[in-house]
Amino acid sequence: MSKKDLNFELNLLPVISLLAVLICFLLLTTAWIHIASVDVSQAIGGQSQAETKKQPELWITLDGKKLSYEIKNVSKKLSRYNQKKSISVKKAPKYFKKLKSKIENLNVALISPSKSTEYAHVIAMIDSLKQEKINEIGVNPL
Amino acid sequence: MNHSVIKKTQMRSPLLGLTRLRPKGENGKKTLMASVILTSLVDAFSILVIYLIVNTSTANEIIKNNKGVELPTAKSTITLEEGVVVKILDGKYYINEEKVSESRLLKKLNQVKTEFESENKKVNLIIQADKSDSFELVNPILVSSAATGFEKIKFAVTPKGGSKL
Repeated sequence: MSKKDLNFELNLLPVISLLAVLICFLLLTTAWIHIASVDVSQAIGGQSQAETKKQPELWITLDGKKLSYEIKNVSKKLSRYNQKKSISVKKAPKYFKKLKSKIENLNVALISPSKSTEYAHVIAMIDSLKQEKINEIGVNPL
Repeated sequence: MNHSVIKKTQMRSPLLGLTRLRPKGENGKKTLMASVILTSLVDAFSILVIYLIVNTSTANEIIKNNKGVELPTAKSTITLEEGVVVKILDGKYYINEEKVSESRLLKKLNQVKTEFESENKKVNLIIQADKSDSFELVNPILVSSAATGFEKIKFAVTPKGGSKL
């Protein structure tokens, strides 16, 4: 009766070959550019204005690299923010941060871009609003 | 059977020569032949395979990233979900890779939306446009989508460093 050898060795070469082929396949098929999305809510006209709950709204007008904004439906205490102001697109994130700190319940924004506004600027605007937790954003068609 | 062909032709394993339990080298002496320990290599390969499998994004199956379309970047992004993809490439509109004229956008969107709804699929509208495009080009899609009844519109972007929401 032959004694079975306790020191057996696994042949790893086929495993390595298989893994190498799998890695090559995955490296070739994996998409390295990730695509995500930013979403906006569009008004499709289901609710009447009377039914809509009044809350502060940030109205933004984009014209090229210039931006003007005004806040609607704010309390009398914060009425100084009611006036229309013009700033450059680059400075917008700083202003939105300041506005959000002053008006905490500011969650609605409406962007009205002009014909010539670059698509990237519209997205940058949505992005900076989302970063300030202003999540209900709409884009006004021309 | 102890002297089978396999036993005779098998290579002497350098690892067995080094073992402490029952050395198989020449009279139990350590062999001079260097051995490559493959276990760590297999471990590294396995980790790489798992990483590549996990890293495979499904969002790229929804959108085909064309050479002519450079997506804008954004920090506060969410994962892309399945939906109707409207692409702007060289000023022309494509709905789910099918070329559509501006005048037929509304009709085609209506048709695609009905198809999606009949399959009980969630209907999102995904806009894929180049970052340098003017808003004038995106506008017809917004107008048609509002008329069709798309409430949520998603703009395809490339995530920029920041965390996903």
